[in-house]
Amino acid sequence: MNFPSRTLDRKVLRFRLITVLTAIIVMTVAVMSVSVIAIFDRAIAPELENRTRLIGNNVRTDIQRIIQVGIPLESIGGIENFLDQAVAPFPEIQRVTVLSKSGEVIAETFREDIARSAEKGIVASIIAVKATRFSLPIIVGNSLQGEVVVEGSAYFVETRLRDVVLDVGVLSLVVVLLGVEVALMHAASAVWKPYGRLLRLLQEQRAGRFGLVARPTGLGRLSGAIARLNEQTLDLVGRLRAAAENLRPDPSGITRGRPIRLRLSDIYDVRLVMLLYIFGAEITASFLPVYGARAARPDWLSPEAAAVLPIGLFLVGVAVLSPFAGGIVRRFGAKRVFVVTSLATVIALCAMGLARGIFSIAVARGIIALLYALATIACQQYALEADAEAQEYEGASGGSASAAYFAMLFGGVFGGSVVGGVVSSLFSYQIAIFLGAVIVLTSAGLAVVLMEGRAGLAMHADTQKSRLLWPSLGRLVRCLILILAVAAPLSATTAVVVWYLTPMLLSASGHSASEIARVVMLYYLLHVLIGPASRVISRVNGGAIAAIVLGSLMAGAALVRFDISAGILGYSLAIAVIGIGHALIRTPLLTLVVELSGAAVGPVNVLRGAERLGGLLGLGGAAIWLGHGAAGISLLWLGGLSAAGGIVFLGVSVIISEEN
Amino acid sequence: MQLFWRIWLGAAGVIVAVAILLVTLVTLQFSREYSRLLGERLLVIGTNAAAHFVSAADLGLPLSSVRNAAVFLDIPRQTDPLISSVRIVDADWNTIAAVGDGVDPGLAVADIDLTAAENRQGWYRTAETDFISGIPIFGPDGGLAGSLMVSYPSTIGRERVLAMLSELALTSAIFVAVAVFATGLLLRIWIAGQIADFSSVEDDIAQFERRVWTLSDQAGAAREQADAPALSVMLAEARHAYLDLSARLPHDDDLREDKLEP
Repeated sequence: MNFPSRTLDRKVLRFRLITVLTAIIVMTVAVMSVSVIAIFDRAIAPELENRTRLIGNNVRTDIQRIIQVGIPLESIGGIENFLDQAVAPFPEIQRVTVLSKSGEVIAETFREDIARSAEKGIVASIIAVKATRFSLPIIVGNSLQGEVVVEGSAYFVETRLRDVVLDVGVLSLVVVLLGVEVALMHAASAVWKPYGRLLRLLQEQRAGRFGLVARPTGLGRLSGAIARLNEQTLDLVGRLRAAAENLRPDPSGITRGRPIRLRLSDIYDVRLVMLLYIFGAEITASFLPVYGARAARPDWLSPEAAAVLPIGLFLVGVAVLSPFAGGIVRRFGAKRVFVVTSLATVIALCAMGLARGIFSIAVARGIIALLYALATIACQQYALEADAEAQEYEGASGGSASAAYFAMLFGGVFGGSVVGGVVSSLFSYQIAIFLGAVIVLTSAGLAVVLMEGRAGLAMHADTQKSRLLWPSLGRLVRCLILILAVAAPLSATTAVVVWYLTPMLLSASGHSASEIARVVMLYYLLHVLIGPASRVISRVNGGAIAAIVLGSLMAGAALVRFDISAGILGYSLAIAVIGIGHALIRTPLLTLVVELSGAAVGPVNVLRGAERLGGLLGLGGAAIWLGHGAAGISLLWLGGLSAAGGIVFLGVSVIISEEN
Repeated sequence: MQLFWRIWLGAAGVIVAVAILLVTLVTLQFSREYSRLLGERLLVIGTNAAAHFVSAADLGLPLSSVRNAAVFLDIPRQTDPLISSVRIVDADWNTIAAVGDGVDPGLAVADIDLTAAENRQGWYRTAETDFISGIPIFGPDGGLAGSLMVSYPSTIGRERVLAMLSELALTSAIFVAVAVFATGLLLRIWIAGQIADFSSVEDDIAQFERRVWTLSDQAGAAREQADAPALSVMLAEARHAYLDLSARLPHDDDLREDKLEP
């Protein structure tokens, strides 16, 4: 088949668009943060001054009263205690000093913690924020007795704004992610899809077949060209119909009756749809256990177990439906399944937001899991079909369907965890969940408009059954080791560390939902960033095995070294290393399982089942250990299992490949 | 170029969205932080003013028994003249004594849910037109004997927030303009290849259209580039196929009644 010499390269455009946007946004946010702190500081200064003056005034009034009684300033006892109590309600006051007439220090309270945090005030020192400082004279009768000096922290505003700046930082990454997808969807509907339709019509008409028409849309001259080809078909079909009786013999190639509307499917129809769906459905990603632990529960259920319940039911739901989802999607068609499940997800999310008891929350989450499995597999199916169709007609694909699937999956959870964390910390958990419902509803609306063509339709029985060839024993053993020793610990680690322990432990040590979200999102962000690299590595000979072993060892080491009493930075580092390790494992894992099992459907389903089972077992253990105040033990176990799994897999791969 | 404008527009949308996000979050944070700072200050002012009433309540005396209540209530207004009213209320929010004019506390706090900590240590809320902070006063049995409430006009806080918002919005607008311009420049250079690809597709179509208008033959060109034909050649081939079939069909005009049956 012939294709025009110039195709429209999507991958390069996507890569460059992402690079330019990310660079610009990062710079803009950095520069704007500095100006934000300066503006915020100016705006809040009058109130800070009022507070500083008030505290100085209070201290001075009390000292004056004591001096009036006849006690000299130098002889007043316990001033330090009194000063400590006076500054207690004002976290921004760094130092209060009482000086005698001669300038000698009588008493002083100095807050080391504030002074220490002040050392980190990088931005404030750049823009030279001045500390508020007040000096109030102590006057009794007509004579000056001394002086009270109150000093605020110059970096108070910056410490207060650090959260905001970090929130804006991660939220802008989400905006970039969404923005790029919207821009690409737009490009697809304005350029790539019309171009594809034009090529398809040309292909038909050059072969003398005139039976298809297409929507005459597209940028520039594309719409005109499609309209011209439509006219040619309509003219011939119309004239054939009018002259049908008088014409012998029939000119072949012209459709009798009405011309058929050409609808092409494209990966870009489903990318944004899937991203938004996962975004909305996973809006609870960073706070689900905390939300569960706070819900009303019966006395016999411990808070740790209550926190595990929604996550556990989610895993059960996904595990139960995954083996059947593919069949259901093929039976009813990807578009129909997606639209129905996403609408049902909206209802389930609303129910979860309104629920008060732990059981209704867990059941709602379980139902969302069933719908989630169906919806994501519908998207995956659509992407696979659209990719096949694009290859068939254009010779150029929009990028591999599985790459798109992984990018949208982790991009969606990343966005959901960030936005859920920030919104729940600003407003409430309920509002975050309702926002998730709105986002899912948007994805359903987009799916109705965007998903079109063959990929969204039900498939005939004969195209459904893939070949089921049993692989050799060696391959089967490696496949099983891979699933049990690598996939199960991976899934357990995700469920235990990322979904459960991190939110629970950070929340217990007083961190806000948005701080937790920033730690949790790191895991998914690294999947988005490292995922493409691990795809490249796994294509190299032996690269897949190397990536899996390296990833398992990294995750294992991070888990063994995980210090659950660490601060937010310690958690971030551990989650980041685990994220890199898992990102290295995931793509090669799926590729290898498919490869080793000879592309049979069974082992992939076993993989999914074993993963969920591993997750469930890990969660159960973690909840019990956390209940006994020994969360660290579950991490040690997980770390040991991850590292050992990697080593066992390496050994088995070496032995079996040598035997072969 | 149309493709470039569209992509630039999309990129500009992303930058504007980030800026709006930043301005919104910072404003929300400012509003929260300002309320907190003001509320804490009013609590300290109120606690100082409530000292005499606390002494009375400790002895089990009703708060209304404190003489010269108005004088004590006037002390906070000397600390900050913007304080609109200070009042002392009993456990049922009925005013015992008041200085200045603010909203009726019974109305203002009717729908406030206080947490246990707030019930003990004091609270602050924005209610209708006033920002109110309340200091609970307890009797000897530990039960609530009444509260001292300090009101501050909420317009002052709102003005501060709006002033900050406008300054922030203006600064952000300038940054956004610069960033959008820079993105345009970068994109113009970086996706020049993709724009050229699309332009060449357009040129191909234009070339074909021109040939149709000028009735020049394209079949020769088509055969020369059979391996990887340009779009214009493919269009020409499709047109040839159309003309071939068209020639074998009667024209619309031929099918009219009057022509078929003279």
